[in-house]
Amino acid sequence: MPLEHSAFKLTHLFSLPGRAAVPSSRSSRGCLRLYRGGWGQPPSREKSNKTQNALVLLERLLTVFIAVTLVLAVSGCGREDGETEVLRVSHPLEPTHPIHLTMVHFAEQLDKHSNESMSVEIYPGSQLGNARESIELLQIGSMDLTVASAAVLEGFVPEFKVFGLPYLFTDSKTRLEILNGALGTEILESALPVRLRGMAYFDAGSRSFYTKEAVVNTPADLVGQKVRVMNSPMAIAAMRALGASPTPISWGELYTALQQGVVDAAENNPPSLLTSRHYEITPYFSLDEHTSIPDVFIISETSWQRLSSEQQGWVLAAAREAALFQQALWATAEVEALEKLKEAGITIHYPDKQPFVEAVASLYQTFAEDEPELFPLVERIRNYKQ
Amino acid sequence: MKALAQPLEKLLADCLIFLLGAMALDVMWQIVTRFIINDPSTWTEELARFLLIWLGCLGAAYGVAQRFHLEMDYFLDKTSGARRELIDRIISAITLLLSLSVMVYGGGRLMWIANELNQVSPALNLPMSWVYAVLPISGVLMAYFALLQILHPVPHETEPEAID
Repeated sequence: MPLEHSAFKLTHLFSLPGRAAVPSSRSSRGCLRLYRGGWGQPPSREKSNKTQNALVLLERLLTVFIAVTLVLAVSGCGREDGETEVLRVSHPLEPTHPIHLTMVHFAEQLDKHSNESMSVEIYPGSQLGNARESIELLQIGSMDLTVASAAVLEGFVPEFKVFGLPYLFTDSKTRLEILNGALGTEILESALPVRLRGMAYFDAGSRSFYTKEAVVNTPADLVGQKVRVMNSPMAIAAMRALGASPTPISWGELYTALQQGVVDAAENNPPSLLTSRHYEITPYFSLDEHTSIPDVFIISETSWQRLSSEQQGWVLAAAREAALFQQALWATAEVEALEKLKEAGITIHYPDKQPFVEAVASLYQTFAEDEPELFPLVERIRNYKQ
Repeated sequence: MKALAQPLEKLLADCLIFLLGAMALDVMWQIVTRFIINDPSTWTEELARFLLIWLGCLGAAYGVAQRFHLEMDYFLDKTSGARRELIDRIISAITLLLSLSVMVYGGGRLMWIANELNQVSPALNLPMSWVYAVLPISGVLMAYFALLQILHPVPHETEPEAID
């Protein structure tokens, strides 16, 4: 019982002058007891009447409290009366982020389609769980909708690993065409066996390097550089192929990690570099655009089955509209972010992409060997012709 | 049933010591690879996180056994004897209910779903159901210790162990 031991000594240490220290017989476990020494004498037998009264009062208070809680709980459960189907969205981004604005747009569209018989409640900023936890909530059926990066989905649906390959898409126009087309839908459907229904892709642009010390013009500049990556096997493999030393660090800790030299560089899209303020430490931004990992708008399969086929149609229509809205919003956000970064004094470099493309060629070979059942998907994306 | 308590607590304590030791070594290795070898290990951060989850959950079960969880004892201390024993039993019953419903049922369900849907961890490629297995495990332990406290309440007016 080491804690009791220390608690006992501490009570002596903390007891105030003029007041009796807690007698050893009263001192048992629990840190809260430390303060009891200052709260007067231990209750004695004469006080038992008072104690009884206090207990009766406590009991009454508790009864009232429980009654009120029950009434509130029951009145809050009246979903049937309004006939409004409420869908809840959990996403990890802040309310100023394009994704959140898109969710607001989705709510408006769904409102319109369903003639206000359906509504959406949005819980931004990881308040109900981060990206991975939100996906789990969807699988359990405790949450209806979420937006998750394809990189996070890798752990749930192997098909999404494909998007982690660098230079998979030829350009951003083709990328959106593929994602919005039949091939994109096919990949979305691969999530169904794990109780997730992908509805649409949101654009997350392309990720590029930003560095503290040296400008990245060729893959050779990356050798020996510690680069922060997302905690995703594909991201780690891609960074190794490019020659850098990948270091998985959570996004929230990255600012300090860059500042303290835990990593020398990181990679992300321009709007994220701007909003995270990492540019305050990393003055060089090299737009090599190595990976383009989309975000996926998902509904829980449990929630989906709960809806009538009419409601399902409304949700899907609103989701597709939200995707088009987001993709346009993202394009402007990217241009604006680059301008603001320039204003902030960041030098933006446009390196030749060819050496980078060549550096990751080996990654495609290993991917073909490791994931033979996924590789046809890669080939179809690369050979895509509009 | 009571006979099992002592060896179980000992085993639990040993597990906790092992987990904390493993975590310390893991984080040390992380620092070595980052700053001395200069090629950061990619799995140390994740392993440290999983070890912490196990340490926290099993530590909570150990806390139930040792009864060092926080409690608001202002009113509790105003009672004694049979009434106090009754309140203690009610508290243990709530602990029992919570550990069975939240940890064993809820945690077990999460573990089962992660297993059925093959969720794997990003860096170690470990099945997430192994990580979540600690929830029902610690839940069962908590329920056991709470049940023990209902059946054999610890007398409260005893002296704590002597100081030496």
